[in-house]
Amino acid sequence: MISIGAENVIKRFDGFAALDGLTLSVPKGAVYGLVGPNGAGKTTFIKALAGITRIDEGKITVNGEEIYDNEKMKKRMAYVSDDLFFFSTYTIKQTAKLYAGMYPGWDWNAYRTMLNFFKADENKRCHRMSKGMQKQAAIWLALCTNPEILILDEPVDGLDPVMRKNIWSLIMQAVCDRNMTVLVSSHNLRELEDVCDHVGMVHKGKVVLEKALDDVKGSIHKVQTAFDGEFPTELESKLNILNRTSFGSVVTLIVRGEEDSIRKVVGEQSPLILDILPLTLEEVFIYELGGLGYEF
Amino acid sequence: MNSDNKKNIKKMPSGCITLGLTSLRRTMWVPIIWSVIMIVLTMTMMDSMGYYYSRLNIRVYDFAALTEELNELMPMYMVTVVFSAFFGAIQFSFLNRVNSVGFIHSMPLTRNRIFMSYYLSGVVSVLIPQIVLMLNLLLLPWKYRFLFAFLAFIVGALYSVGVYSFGVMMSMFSAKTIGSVLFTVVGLASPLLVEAFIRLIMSSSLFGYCNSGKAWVAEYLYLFPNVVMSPKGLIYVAAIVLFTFCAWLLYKRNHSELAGDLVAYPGLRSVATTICGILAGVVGYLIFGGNLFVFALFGVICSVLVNFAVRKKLELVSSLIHGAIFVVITLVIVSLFVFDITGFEKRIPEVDDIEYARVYNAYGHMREYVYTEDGKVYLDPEQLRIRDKADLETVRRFHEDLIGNRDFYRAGEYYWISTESYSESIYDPYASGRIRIEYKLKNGTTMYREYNAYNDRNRETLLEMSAIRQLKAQDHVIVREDVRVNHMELITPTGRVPLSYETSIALGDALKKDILAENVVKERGLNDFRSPSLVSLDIVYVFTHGYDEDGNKVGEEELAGHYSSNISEIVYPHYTNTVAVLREYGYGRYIDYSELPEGAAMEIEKSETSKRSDNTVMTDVYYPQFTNDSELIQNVMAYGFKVSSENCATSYDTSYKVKYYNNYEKIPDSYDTFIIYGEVDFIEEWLLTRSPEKDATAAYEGMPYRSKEEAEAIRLK
Repeated sequence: MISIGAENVIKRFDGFAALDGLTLSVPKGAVYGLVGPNGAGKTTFIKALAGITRIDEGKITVNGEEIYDNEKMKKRMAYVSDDLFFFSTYTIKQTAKLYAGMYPGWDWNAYRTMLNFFKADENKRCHRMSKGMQKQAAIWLALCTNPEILILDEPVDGLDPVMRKNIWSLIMQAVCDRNMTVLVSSHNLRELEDVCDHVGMVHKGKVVLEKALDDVKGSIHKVQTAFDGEFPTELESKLNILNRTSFGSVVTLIVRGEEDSIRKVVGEQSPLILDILPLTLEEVFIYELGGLGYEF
Repeated sequence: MNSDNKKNIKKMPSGCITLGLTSLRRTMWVPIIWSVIMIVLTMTMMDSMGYYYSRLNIRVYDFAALTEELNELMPMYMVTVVFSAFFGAIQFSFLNRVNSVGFIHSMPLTRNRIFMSYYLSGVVSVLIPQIVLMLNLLLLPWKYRFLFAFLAFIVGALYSVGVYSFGVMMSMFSAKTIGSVLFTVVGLASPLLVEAFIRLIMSSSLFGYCNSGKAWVAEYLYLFPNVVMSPKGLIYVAAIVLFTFCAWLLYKRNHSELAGDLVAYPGLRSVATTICGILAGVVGYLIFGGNLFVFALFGVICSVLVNFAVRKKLELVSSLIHGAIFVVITLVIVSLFVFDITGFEKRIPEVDDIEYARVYNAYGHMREYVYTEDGKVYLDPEQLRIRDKADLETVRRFHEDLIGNRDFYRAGEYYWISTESYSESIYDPYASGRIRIEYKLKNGTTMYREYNAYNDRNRETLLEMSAIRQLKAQDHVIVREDVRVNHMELITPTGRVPLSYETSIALGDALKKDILAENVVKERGLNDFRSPSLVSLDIVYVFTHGYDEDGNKVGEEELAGHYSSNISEIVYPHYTNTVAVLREYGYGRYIDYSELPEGAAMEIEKSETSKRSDNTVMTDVYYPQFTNDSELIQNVMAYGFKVSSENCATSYDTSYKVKYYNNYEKIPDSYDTFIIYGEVDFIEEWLLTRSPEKDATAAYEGMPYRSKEEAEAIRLK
């Protein structure tokens, strides 16, 4: 079942198409990582999904309903922006009361539990807290609304490693308990790799790659090989090589394709060494976008 | 979901209320400060208001009178306007930052609900100080305080919510808080600025433009008097609805991604630039006293700067385009007003289209109402309305004559003395009266024109005009048909002489006939009205009827007890009826001066005027000479009264200022003064015996020279 869907979404700013026919779908209960270079359109899409901006064309749906100005659906969603906002005079407690008034799913028990867990002072003004503390507070307040869908834009940016671990634990707990759908945008691909089960790669306003993470990793491989003599040129035509580097006689190839077929093709050339290694998400990102002409 | 949370859900207020209360809580400092100011203002005025109101007897439920008293609360309403505008400008300031607009718009509320939450919380905030004011006014020691306080609240509520709604609407045009405040202030000021601009450019460009009559914008700024009974209150309510609707529409179309931009809608950037340019041009024009070049310059500079600010970069092409737009606007204005392509200057309505006309001195006071204890009573307006077709034709010819001398008046190269009465403006050769012509047309509209009417230039038509009864009625109240003479006193240099009621009535009738028959310009001549006022009549009169503020006729009985006034009318030699009545009733000796009291004395100060090379005159003044020779005194008095217009058509070569003392020994400070123009033989003979010396300190110069022939020609023209 599709929880979040986007179909040919176009959004323009002063003639420039920030989203240029973006299409994606996030299954229910998935932790979907939205990745892409700076200016790709991730935040623009997230804001449109959160109902903040209005798209020019296409549609964005949540549980099959268009989300813009949809009060009913938004009550089941929580959004944490990378650029946080708190009312200047409000404490955590006052902000919690505001949320409680807005979201029918608000859970005071969860609030008290998290308050103790994070050892936060609920009477402290949010503005007076550090950026990291603010982000932390924003995330756990969002979780206290018991959302079905959680949208996070750079959620753990600025948090210390322990806090990051705690936050992700809470999120994953909610995913497990309630089958919560999470859409998270981040540049920290190493961290996303640990939590996401789906990934969508955005480039120039379009989703260029959208797969389950296992499938992403399964479709592109790092091949370390060495040959007696020169590198066989046949391999260049038989394999979909995204990148090739050499260190002495050892050649490292980034190859798109199934592992078995790659092994077979390389094996035919009688390599001295043949190792096929999985790529990290970061490496997949780099090599996929490099293939799209994104210059580093 | 556990029972705690179930309870919480039941208790939870709706999202709208939550957001509204949040907004109210956060901005509560504004109404608090505002309320404190209202309390301080009210308390400082309480003493004087309390004293005044405890003695003011207004009829209960007299809304009109009560609301007129709301003028006392003007300082509070001015504070209200300022705070309401500021509050309206900032209430939606969350739209002006990327993070705040993201936070609010991600909330589970529709745009409509978000708008209403913020808008209504703002309405509550601006009404709080009005409630505080109302409660304060209940402390007034006045039996009508409850109704007065309620009316004050109504007016305050209309002002505060009206200006607040306007501020909210204007704030939507900018996505920057400073821009929102600026647009609100400019939006509030611009109708007045534009009106002032149009009035100034019309008065400086259009010959005959009359900068008077009802104010266009200010008329609707004042809700009192009669906020309850007049449609103004409804207009304000309609305006509130309109502003709120427009604000809501703009909010719905708001682009959150443009938070922080000076203009919130890309399509309106050019419009905003042009409007700002126009307003800057208007301000420059007003500051520099009507200079169109300044208008264009300010406008172009402001357009370029605003264009730079809205686009955040200097775009040469777009700046040039806006500059060019501005030049075109200036040319259009020049064409409309300077070249009068609408034909404003030459327009004179046809007699058949005129219901009535009024002609009066623009700077004078045309008495239209009087005050009695019960309030204002309006005098019969028909006394000053010209309806007769022949008279209306005269007015048209006068009007055409003025337009015909447009270039002369535009050049402004004539020596003039400003006058305040209609008659003065046409008697004195150097007088230039500011004459206003008002046509009430049969189509319901009123057309106003105003001109300098220079005696020298428009003599013939002024002469014709002076025969119109309604114009005479302006300076001679006795000519009005709604006036009755009560009693009179004869004012003579020898003292006041009370007259009997019968004599007063007879003199009143005679004087009325003489004034109506008088051809004032011809008979009084150039300066004759300043000739000896040896005899005048101090007339106490009453109005026979009037109309109250509801239009009900008020009779003399009601007026007479409360109002009477007096005027002086000079008895001229050509007032033959009046002179005849004076003689008939035995007061001829005051005209003849055949009897003088003991102690009568006289001072004569001679002046001699000579022409200078620059065609102006120099007047030498001799030291005054004193006499108590009764024969000389009687001769001078008799001569003075008989001076006619022929003698006054002089070149001012010689004149005598005469001071008559009724009883010099006992009351040396009490005297009457008049001037005799033209050389008088027997006075010269007497002066020769005195050989007076010149008083250098009293000499004066600068008046234009006229020869006797020129003066005579003017008089007889």
